[in-house]
Amino acid sequence: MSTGEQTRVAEQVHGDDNAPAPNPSWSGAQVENRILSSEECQAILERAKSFAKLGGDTAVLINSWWQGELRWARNRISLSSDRRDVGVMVIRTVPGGIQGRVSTNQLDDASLESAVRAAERQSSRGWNPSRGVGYFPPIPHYGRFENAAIWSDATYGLDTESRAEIARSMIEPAEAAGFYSAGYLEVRAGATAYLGTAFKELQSGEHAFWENPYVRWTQAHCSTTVRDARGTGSGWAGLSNYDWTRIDGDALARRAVEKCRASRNPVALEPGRYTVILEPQAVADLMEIFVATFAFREIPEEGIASPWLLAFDDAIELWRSKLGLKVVDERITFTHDPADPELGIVMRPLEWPGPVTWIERGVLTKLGHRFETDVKQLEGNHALRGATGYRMSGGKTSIDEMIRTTRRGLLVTRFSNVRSLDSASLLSTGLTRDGLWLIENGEITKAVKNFRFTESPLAVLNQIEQLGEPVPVFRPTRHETGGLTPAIVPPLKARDFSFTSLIDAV
Amino acid sequence: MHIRIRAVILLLLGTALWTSPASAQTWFEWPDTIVDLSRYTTIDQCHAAVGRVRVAVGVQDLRATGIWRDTIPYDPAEDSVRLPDEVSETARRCLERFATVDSVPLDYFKVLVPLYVIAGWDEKAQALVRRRIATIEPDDEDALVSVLDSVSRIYRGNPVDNSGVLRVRPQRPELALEIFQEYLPRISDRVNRFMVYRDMWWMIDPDAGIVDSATAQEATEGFFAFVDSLTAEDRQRLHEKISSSLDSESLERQIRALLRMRRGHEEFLDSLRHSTESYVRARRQVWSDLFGQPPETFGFGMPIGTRAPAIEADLWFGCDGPCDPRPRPGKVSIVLFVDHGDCIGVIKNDSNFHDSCVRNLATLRHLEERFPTLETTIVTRTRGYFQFLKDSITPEREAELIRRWIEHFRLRAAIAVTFPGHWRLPAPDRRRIDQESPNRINYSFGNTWGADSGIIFLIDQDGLIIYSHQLHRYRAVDYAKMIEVLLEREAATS
Repeated sequence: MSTGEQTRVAEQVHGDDNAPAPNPSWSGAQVENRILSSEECQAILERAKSFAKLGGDTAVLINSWWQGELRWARNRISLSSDRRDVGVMVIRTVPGGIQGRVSTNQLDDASLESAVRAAERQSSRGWNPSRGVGYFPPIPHYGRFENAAIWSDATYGLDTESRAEIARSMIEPAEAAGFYSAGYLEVRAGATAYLGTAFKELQSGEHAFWENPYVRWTQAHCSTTVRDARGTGSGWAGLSNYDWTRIDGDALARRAVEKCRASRNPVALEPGRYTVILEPQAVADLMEIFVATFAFREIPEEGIASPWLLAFDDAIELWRSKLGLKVVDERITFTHDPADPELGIVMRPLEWPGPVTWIERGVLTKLGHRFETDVKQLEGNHALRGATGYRMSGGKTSIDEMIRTTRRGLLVTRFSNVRSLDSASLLSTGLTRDGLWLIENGEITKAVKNFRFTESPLAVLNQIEQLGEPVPVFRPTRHETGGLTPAIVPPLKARDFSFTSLIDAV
Repeated sequence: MHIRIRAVILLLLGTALWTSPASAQTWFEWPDTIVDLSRYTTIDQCHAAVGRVRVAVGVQDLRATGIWRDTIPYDPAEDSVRLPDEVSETARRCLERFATVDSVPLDYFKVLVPLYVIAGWDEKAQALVRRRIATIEPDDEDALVSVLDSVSRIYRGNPVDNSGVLRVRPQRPELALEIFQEYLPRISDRVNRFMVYRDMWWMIDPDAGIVDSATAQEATEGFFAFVDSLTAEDRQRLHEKISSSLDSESLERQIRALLRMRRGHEEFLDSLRHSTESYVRARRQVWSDLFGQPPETFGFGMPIGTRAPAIEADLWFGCDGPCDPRPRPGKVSIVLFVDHGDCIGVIKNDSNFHDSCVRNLATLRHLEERFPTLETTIVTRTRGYFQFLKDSITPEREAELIRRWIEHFRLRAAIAVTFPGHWRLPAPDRRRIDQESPNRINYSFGNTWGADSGIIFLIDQDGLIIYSHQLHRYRAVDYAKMIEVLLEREAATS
């Protein structure tokens, strides 16, 4: 973004009359304007309110984010960028009208006023006759739930030059070995504000919808792939964390180079069922589909196909889920805490505070649910989002020990292109990538050509032989568009994993 | 910019004749109902433009009158009211480029015919129907019957789109009859002719004031004459074709029973004036004629003629003295079941108010106002929450909240609240299983007739159930007639 653009955005945020001096650099302490502060968001709300003409309620949902990015390929940096954007949704409810919502990313007075007018038109076109019909009790007030600490000045302050230095350092070992390195490094920061509502009592509280009127966060992702010159070997390593200082780029580079070297000249094996040792990244890739099923208990309880649908209970005329039943190996527990800094979950203004245990010692103990379900049928007064991040329990076995105790099996670095084939059994398919090795009699004997697998994570979790220490993995979530679920998972060894065909990719 | 301003001015001038003037209290700016038709260039877009104007004009009407029309008494003449001029004008202007019937795509037959009628272009609509029929092979009777069925639906005002934008108002059966009479001679198969006759017969409802009684009489007699002429083989084929409950051996009797159900309200009222016993007999006879068996055979809980159980309550509201027993002996009464869990539900934000109870309660209020001596009772129950409130809510607190909510509608009905209790599935499921309320159990009949939210029971002074159905405004006229008769009988005996 040019200096002129920075000035324009600053003017837009503060209004035309209060523009601060333009910020010529993104380094050090001079990076404050990358995202909007709480005060700046409040100022936008006040301006939107001042443009409102028809009475009623005015709220704003503001998302501002910044991303610094560096990409490289064939040992040369190919892209360096700093991007940022801001989006404001103006929410107007004129008396008797429905809720009108209009979005803009232009914050000058004329644009914001135009958005307010459009939202008012939208609101007044509808009619909400039930608003105020009948007696409605006052809404209870709840206390405030604090946000997770997922802000890192180190991430926020990582400037272009520093990112280039890191990339150079990660490319060097590959280049020295005669390999090609590709990868990317991404640092992000963002803020979400949801301000102004007719139901002010719902803005905060343990059980409320609106617990964090303003949240801010940082994320850092680093991934590198190293290939040999003939294209027969490929190694990969990557890691995500909200705090850049917890990602060791040099260690990732070394690991990718080692895997590349060891995966050259692979041999073809027959597809079939193999004992597998899944490195943590492979476990997370496989479990992505699995943890998504924690989102709504309403799905099995409405009789819709789901791994958690048990059967229709004629006695009580309800669909029963598998809540309370043992569904996976008893060594397995899935939990998450929105405030877990290791997971770095980006909070939303609407957040159930947790922590939540989804599966405890193999037993399904919790599923997410909608607000209405809780009020009508359960015991709380809140919605529960699914696993917005998760920790999977592990064991004490190292990967080396798993290899040593394997007579014949495969060591898997990671999976790609994983997709679900059946929503009831969770049968999935995907590809092994960037390092697959044959283990024979307790030793890695050769690199193996990649496979397509057709297997269910549910089955894998019931065929576990050994578990290792859980560790954070690469999960590039993006606040604006979603993405993968932050995870801390163990390596594991499972039997009878089904590989169904050979693939040519390395 | 000047060009845009001039275009807007021209558009405003052009539409000034058909935008409704603001009247009554203006709470805020009127919504924009003007459609820039220059941007609507396809048939689909015209469909959307007519839809938008239809909705926008409806909202304007709501604001101008302050009346939410489904909470005022139903008038059958509503179905005959013309669409607002703005809607017709929008259809006319937008369809100008599709006004040449010979060149419009026949794929849009089901959209264009109603739009033409809405635009006031009856001749074009008829011409398009004829053009469509002309494409059917002469020996393809099934295709012709299918098109005639669509024509019947369109002119009867049944929506052929999900949004209801294409609903023709008023209904235009005379246009359909013109087409039917023209093409009926082409249909030689007697089962197919039955289908067409049936469509014609359903179209002509003299009660709605849409066709004159002579036309209705002629069509009905023609239909029955045709039914009389059906052979045993015809009836068997018909039975196989329509796969309905009409059995092939007693088709005529069953059709006549349907006619009695449709037109026989006066007959039932005459019976009711005489006695509840003769009324119940007449009702059951129609049922038996229709299905060939008494209602009990099907396990169908027909409560008419059954003694109304006494209403139970843990708390009563709305009575000066003791509320029970209800229904009170010697009084004509209405019992309305209301469950806030169904009709208000869970409110989750400030634009999420529900209203499905409102029209029921409004209809009940109209009946209360019209019949001051009618005894009314609202039967409800607790659910463990109210709207979004749940923390520490007690049955008594919930009952009080329900009372305050109902009180808002200014009803004089007594309110009976039960606390039926509940249990929970074991952890970790923990779902709440509400026990059935005693009133719902007592007022459920057979396998099918449950006292769900919105169901009323009309009860005579002897405590016998006269009628039971959803308290729908479209049936309020029927309820009122029956209440009138019952109150006359009550007055005569007191």
